[in-house]
Amino acid sequence: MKRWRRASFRWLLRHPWQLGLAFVGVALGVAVMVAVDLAASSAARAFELSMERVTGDATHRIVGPPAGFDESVYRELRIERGVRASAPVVEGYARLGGGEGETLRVLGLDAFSGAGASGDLADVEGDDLARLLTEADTALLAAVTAERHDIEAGEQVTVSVAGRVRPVEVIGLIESEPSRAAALDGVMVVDVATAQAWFDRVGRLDYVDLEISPTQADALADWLPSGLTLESAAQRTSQAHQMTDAFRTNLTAMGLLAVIVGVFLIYNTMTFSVVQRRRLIGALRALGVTRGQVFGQIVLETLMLGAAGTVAGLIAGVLLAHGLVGFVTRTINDLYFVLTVQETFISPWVLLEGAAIGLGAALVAALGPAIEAAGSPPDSAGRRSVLERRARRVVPMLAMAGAAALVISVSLALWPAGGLAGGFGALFALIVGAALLTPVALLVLVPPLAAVVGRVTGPLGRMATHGITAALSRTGLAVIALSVALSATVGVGVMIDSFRGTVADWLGRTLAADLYVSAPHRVAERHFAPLPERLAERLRGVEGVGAVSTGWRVEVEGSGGLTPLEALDPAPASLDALRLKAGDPETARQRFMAGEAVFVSEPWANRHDAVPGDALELRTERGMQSFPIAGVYYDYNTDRGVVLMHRDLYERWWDDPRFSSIGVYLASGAAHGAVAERVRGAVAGGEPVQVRSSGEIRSLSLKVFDQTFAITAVLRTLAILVAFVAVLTSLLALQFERTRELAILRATGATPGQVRGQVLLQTGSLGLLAGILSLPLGLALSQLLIHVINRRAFGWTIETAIDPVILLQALALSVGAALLAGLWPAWRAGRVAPADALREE
Amino acid sequence: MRTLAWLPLALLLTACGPADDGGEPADDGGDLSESLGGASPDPGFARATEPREFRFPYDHGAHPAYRNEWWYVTGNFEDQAGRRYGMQLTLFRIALAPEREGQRPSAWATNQAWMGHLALTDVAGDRFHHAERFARGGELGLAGTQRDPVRVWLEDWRLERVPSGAWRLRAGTDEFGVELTLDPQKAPVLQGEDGLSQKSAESGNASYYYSLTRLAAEGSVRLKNAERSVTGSAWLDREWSTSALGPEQAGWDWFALQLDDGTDVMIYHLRREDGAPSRFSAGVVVGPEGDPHHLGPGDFEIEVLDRWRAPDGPEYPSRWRVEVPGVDGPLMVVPVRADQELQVSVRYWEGAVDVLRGDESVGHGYVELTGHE
Repeated sequence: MKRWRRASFRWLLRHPWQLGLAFVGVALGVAVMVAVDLAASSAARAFELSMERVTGDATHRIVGPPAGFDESVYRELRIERGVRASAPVVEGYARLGGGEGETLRVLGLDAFSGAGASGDLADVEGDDLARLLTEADTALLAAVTAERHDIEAGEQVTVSVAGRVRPVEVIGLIESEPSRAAALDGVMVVDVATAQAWFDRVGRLDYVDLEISPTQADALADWLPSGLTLESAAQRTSQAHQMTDAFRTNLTAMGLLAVIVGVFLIYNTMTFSVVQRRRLIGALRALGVTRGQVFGQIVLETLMLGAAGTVAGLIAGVLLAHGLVGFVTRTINDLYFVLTVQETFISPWVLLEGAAIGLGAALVAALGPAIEAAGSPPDSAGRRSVLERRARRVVPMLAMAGAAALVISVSLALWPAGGLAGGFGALFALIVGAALLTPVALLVLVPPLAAVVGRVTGPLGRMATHGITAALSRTGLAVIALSVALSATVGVGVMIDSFRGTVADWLGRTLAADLYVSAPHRVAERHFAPLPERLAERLRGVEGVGAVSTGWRVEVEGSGGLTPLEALDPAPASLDALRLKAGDPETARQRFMAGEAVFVSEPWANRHDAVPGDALELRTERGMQSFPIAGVYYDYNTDRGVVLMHRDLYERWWDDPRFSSIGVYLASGAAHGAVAERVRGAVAGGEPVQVRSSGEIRSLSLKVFDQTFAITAVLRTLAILVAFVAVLTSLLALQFERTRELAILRATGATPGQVRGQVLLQTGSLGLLAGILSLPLGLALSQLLIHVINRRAFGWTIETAIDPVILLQALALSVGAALLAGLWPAWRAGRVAPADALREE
Repeated sequence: MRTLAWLPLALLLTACGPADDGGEPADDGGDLSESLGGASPDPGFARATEPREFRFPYDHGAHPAYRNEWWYVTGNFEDQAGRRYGMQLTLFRIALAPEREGQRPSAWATNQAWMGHLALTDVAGDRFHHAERFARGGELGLAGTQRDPVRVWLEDWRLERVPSGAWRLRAGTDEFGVELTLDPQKAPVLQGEDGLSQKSAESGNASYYYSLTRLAAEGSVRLKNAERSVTGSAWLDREWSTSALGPEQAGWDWFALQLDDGTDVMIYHLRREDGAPSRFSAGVVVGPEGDPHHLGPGDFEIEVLDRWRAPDGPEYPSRWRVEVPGVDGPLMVVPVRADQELQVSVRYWEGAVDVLRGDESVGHGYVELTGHE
């Protein structure tokens, strides 16, 4: 090895802190990026697996109204139409072990149908499988799931179905090839007869899976009774994809944010590792090492360091992803549909992408300083002043570019046709613009800060603060990295807070009834168990009950795919709880009550580009039917949007008398506690029914909200961590660089205490500046997230609410991390012997 | 289709007593005698222990207290061009468990499973056509029986009796099918001891068994969308039981021969594991007027003259010399084609045969061979 090359490596080894920081910076950046990406792609994969499992090899599916359709359709299909590749399915969900256990997807199949839905049920282990047919409450369970819960074939378990706890005998385990195990996870197979009894489907089927040719499909579509549709597998998949599109886009965006912060972090640490060696490079150049050699050496070192950091980051990222997947699937379960698959799928592409970005960012970060160092004349390479003079000259150009980026950001945000991509473009441009403006902001902010600090601490303090602009090429980068990371936490924090506040307000207004009656154990957003017949009438008769409303949520097919439909039998006060966003409240209400028109929620209106006066199409039991829209109301139940319909109108088109919730309004003067007691008394007798006050519902809903945003909160914590490491690394590096400067201070008479104070003052000021700069950027980010991204992705209006705690937290975090980063260099600076430090000169 | 295709068989096999291998069917399917015979049945099933009184058409319907029951139609036909066909339709009723107390609300709930085998032999054609179907019983009506008028069906495969006393049979797949009217020429013949057919030593290892040995057949066969009118002669076997073979028995070789002189011959060897005929082998000769003469194991002789090995499968006897008292012999029984093996969830040979005396054709028939290895 060439001697000069060894000198360069030796320098790195003699500065383990710098080496370690660069390593940690790259590793952390890659880890966060990869973890978020893996979690998002795992959720997507889980989703695809569950689609695949449900559709099996089926090419088509016969679907019907929400309550299922008459099972005689299947008999006719098999016997009269002779469609052999057809499989009847009754599907539902159950919780293992009752209450809060794992959610199982229950497929009620006919083992003899010989087609379709079963997909991957490759092999079943069990002694007496015939009992699946001949005995009620017998089931097969996926072997992977059984193993997780220590359940063996032949064992009795309990499951909770629609709030009722049932004993079930697991008579067999469904084995599968290891590669398919994930798709089966969480699946319980029962006989159609058992499923019909469990899910209140006696006499009816949920769907029939078919494997047929396009010609057969056409013939079949013509034959189907009205109210039934034939859907192709592709149609089904794309519908479900649409359902979660926004959520997945948001997750990807989170991943991108992590990438941006990660790249800054990597860039920052790598730039330092080169910049600090300027003097060494100058010396090497003076000794005759060529520019090309210097450049090559720096690139080589960067690659090695970057590779090591990337590998560590990939490993950490995979580990982290395992934790994140649970959060992601839970969110999907709460909001969209039951996803029983929970495995982390390690996609090589994600890893490759993480590695490429990690290495690439490191290389790009090193390239600038390397070119510069290689390009410097030997004598001046080591001179900071040359470099800083050059940096100063660039500041106005950077500021102009930054201003341009901000203009682009604002235009993208205001451009209505920009869609979600435009929103993210605006976000990115905002961050870039803010970063480019940071140096000029420092030049503006530092002098007054230095004056204040100087007044308090004397000339040494003023010097420390002034040092920030004197070393702008490095402090600038540190402040950018720090403030971007901090602003991400501010932006996301304000967004979540605002969202939560808006939802809490909305809940307070919407939950107008005093008591709510529903089936316990809601499994997921889309699955509501019906309440016992006539319960509403019974409750109406309870003493102290003034009025009663009922609700029933179903999924029906509309012109734009499946849509949630809520049939509301309102109490007089029910409609007052709806706040209309569009539509004349008085006439809208009248038309709704008369069953002439429906309401749609705000996300529905946004998704379908609908305004009052438009009409929407829904497939009723008597064919497609058009319903005029009377108004758009604020609703935060689901980003898929809801069509709200009067019960009378619903029953005119659907033969479905069921309801899943009852709102009980007290008569004036009635005592809440006493009426609640009487209502509970009226539903007793083993009925799976729960009575809750509106307060309980409110807090439960907020709990679901918090669960939903758990993934976001985790990401925010990660961003904070990255920010913390960013400030730590950049300031540590900066202070190590100042060793000589501090020695001069000592030599000119400063005490060790004064020197230490000087170091801490400088890092503290840097932290404070980064903190201050992160606030406007963070608030701007939050506005983009609230008014552009959330609105375009989910379609709801959020009122901004800024919690000062979030802002103070950012400042405290920034200053705290900065001071912490100053401790070690300060301690060292105080100990240094001035003569030794200066001898190098 | 990746499906639950294996499951029906697994259900059937496990229903027929505890399976040692965890209920997994072997790759090449199970064994007919095993899935229909089987040891140690649930005591909740009725057993064929003593002769009973048969009443018709009542007994053409189902006897669900017994575990197994079948309607077994075979026949030989000819179209106008003289082309020969053989057909088999068997509807098996298999109770997965004895009837239980307590109603389940679903119309799908049932203890009855159905299996159907349909085969068409086109003597001049390129291959043997066969198909298998499963369905559950239950009120839903995918498969089942009805007594008045008698009707047995497995989805769109059906056998029904019309008021005139004739039977209508209709079954098919996308590829082939048959549609026939079958007119009984003789009264039902009770097999064994007044219809109680003892299969092995243990009491109850017996079936109730009667046959309509000669039905004039008229209808059509369909092959690759070409339909041809045919006429010929069919045979209907009816049998129900809960257990049949003993552990030492491997299977059976069954012959149903219709001679041109109006005589019908049914003989079977129950084979022991060592290949020798069991003492429970039996038969019957039915004269042109329908008068039956029952045969014991020593009364007739079946000699195997040739064998045929199925591709990747068992070796079956394939040509026989048969001697039966009261029939001028010996008779040569020759398959119309060697390959008439049903490769369904249970593997067996069931095929149309010619009956010769010397070089002279004297009749047609069907032969069933199970439990060969």
